Amino acid sequence: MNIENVNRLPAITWRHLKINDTIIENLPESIEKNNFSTFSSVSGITCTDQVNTLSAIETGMGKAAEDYVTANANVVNHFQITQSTKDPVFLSYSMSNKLSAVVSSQEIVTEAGTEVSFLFDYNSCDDSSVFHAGTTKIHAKSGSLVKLIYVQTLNDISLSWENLGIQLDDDARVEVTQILLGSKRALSGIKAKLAGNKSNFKLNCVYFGTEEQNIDLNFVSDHFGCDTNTDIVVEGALAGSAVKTLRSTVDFKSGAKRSVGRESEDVLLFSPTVRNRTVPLILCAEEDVEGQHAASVGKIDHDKLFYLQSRGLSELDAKKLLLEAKFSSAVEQIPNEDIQNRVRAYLERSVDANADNF
Amino acid sequence: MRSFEEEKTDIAEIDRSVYDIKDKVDAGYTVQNGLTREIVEEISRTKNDPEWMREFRLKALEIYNGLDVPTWGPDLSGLNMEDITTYIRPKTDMQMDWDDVPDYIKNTFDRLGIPEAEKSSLAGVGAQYDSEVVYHNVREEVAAQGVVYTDMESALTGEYADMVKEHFMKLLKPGDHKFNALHGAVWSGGSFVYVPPGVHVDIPLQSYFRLNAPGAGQFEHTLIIVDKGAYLHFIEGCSAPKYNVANLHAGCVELYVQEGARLRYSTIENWSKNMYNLNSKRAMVQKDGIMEWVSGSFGSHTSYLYPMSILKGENSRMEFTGITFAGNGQNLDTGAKVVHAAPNTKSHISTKSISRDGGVSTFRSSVSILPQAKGSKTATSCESLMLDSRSRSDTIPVMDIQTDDADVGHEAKIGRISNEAIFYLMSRGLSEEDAKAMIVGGFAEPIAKELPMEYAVEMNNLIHLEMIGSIG
Repeated sequence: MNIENVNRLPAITWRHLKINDTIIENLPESIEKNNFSTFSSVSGITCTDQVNTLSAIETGMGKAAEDYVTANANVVNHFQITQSTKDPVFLSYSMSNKLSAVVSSQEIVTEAGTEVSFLFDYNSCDDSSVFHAGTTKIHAKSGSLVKLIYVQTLNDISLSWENLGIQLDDDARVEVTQILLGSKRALSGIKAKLAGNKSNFKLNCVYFGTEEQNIDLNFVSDHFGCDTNTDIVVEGALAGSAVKTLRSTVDFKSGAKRSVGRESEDVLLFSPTVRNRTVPLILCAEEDVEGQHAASVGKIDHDKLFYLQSRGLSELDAKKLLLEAKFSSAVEQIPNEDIQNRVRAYLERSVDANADNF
Repeated sequence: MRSFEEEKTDIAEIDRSVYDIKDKVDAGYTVQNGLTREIVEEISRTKNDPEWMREFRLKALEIYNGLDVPTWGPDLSGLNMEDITTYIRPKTDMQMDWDDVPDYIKNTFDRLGIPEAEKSSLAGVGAQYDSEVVYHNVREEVAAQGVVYTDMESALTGEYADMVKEHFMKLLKPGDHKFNALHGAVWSGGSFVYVPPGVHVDIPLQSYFRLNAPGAGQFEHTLIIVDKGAYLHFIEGCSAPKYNVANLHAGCVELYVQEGARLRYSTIENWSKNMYNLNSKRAMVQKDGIMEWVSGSFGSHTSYLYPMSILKGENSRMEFTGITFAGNGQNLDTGAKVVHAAPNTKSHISTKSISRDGGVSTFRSSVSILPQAKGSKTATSCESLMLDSRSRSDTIPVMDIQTDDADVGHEAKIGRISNEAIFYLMSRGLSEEDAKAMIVGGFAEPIAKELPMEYAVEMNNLIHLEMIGSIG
């Protein structure tokens, strides 16, 4: 089956560009329904399998993707955070021919003033084609803090997506880090509604597209409250015949006074057959705001290369170093050393495999 | 009583009185409203089209009937083609001497300063009134260089008929969108310019388009060919008085910049606020050619306007400089498109927009670098100024990069006049009004300096406004 109208732009543009939305094809018609949740009990967090409390929160990938997950979910978690927790909630799925599909429907509600971190990890442990589809909805109540780190290192014949919907109340803060390295088709959609005054949304997304990979991203931040803040940073590299599409939107609604929204993107291109598509929107119905977007797309900076080579590195090593540096701040956000090492190893393999292009 | 918030951002409406003077509609010939095969054939017959053009019009009508109205941009539901008169011929033939133009038309162009401009600073002038060109003239010394500047109808049957046939609607095809198809079916008027190889036209040519009749459409076609190594600056102005019914402008501008040539195309659009301005402009730029667009959008109820450049030849380049000022009742969707289709091509898009009093301004762009366009560079910068919270300002740019050997930069900013800047200038002795005028003027200055002097003055008049209490 196919899903249409996925990752749709909040304000569409010329149809012939074929960039207003995307389609996901050849999805499994049905998924094994066992609940594969890997959550272990943590003090201050209650977890149930009732996920209908946040249905009003919209997601970045849209309703069709949500509905597919709702109908097929085999991981269902509703997390209620009543106390701050120091250690991250760690949900890891090592996928293989024995666990070939994880369709997760999850909700996170943080009570006022609490702080919590989640680490979602999806990796492949064999060469079989696997499928991950996830919807995660977050309601960050007043003054609460949610950190969500999503690491996806599935093999290059898989299909995966993570679809987030976030609502932030007064003074709430949500920080999302996404590391997208694997899957033949990888999608991510995030829609953050900054409903409360002084709420704050921060996103750092990194990706490395190689071979035939197709990465499709849609990030939307809707500013409703006063003094709200968005900071979206997307950094990536493309090699082989990889294709990446980024739709990124900061939308200042009327009344969102003194709000600030920043989007930036930096893409390194390593092959003549890559394709990089970017649509950075700023929508504005409020005078008293500050919106900015900056994008830079191209080859590695020759000045930086020259400097590193003058310090004794070969050209290839200098390029590798600059590429690793691009990912390092996101990788350092992973609160688990084993996964950090796995991500670094994955990156190194990808870099070596594409070194001919460098 | 107005609130302080309303008062403080009140920037006055553009003074349109000179544009809004209506002439009595006294057409020599008018077709029925709406769009049918019979109407298209009638226009073709009236204009003595060659057979190929009659067939072209009918084919375009077929395409028009098969295409949908675009829904991705501003609302067009207020535009009903059944109410639009597609062809109105004024009671005069084309003249080459202002004295021969009927008084009521001459007076209109006099008020707009067209004859004066011709005398002082233009190499040639064309003036279109409703559907037909009423005046066309070019200076003798320019004509002596071999420069052809004439109305499209004359070009269609004259010495350059084959050249026109070879290029007409080849860049902008009727199938591109519904309003190009409409244009193909009912086009009338416009200018044809040919600049021979190596000729540098030192002072600009100008065409001015005036739409006087209520409920009318204007569909002029501009075709310019700047041959190898030549240079031309072409200026286009447009205006209309305001009526309570929708008027439609769906012109087409096709520009061919040959090897090593350079063309600057400047537009000051000041249509009335009942106008649907659905205009299409496209340039094809050959090796080492340079295309420069300067575009000011001030009028219209609704605009769709995105001049496009196809950088077909190696080392060709394009610069687009634009300003859009959207006020009460206006929804102006403007921007630019560029396709890098050859190695080492360069493009630079720089735009400013101002939204006030409920106006909606949208910057929309598309930058494509094709796989063969190695070594290409592109930079886009768009800045938007919001003058109140009743208005909207959106930016919708698309970048599609299909090679690694490209250098792409993009930046966009949106904001308002800062209190700090106003207070600083006031602390240096400026009045509040002068401070605000200076800031808005400074915001628009990079555009103004690209315009010919008289247009820069006009633009400053348009935006250098009564800034009563306009601290933002």
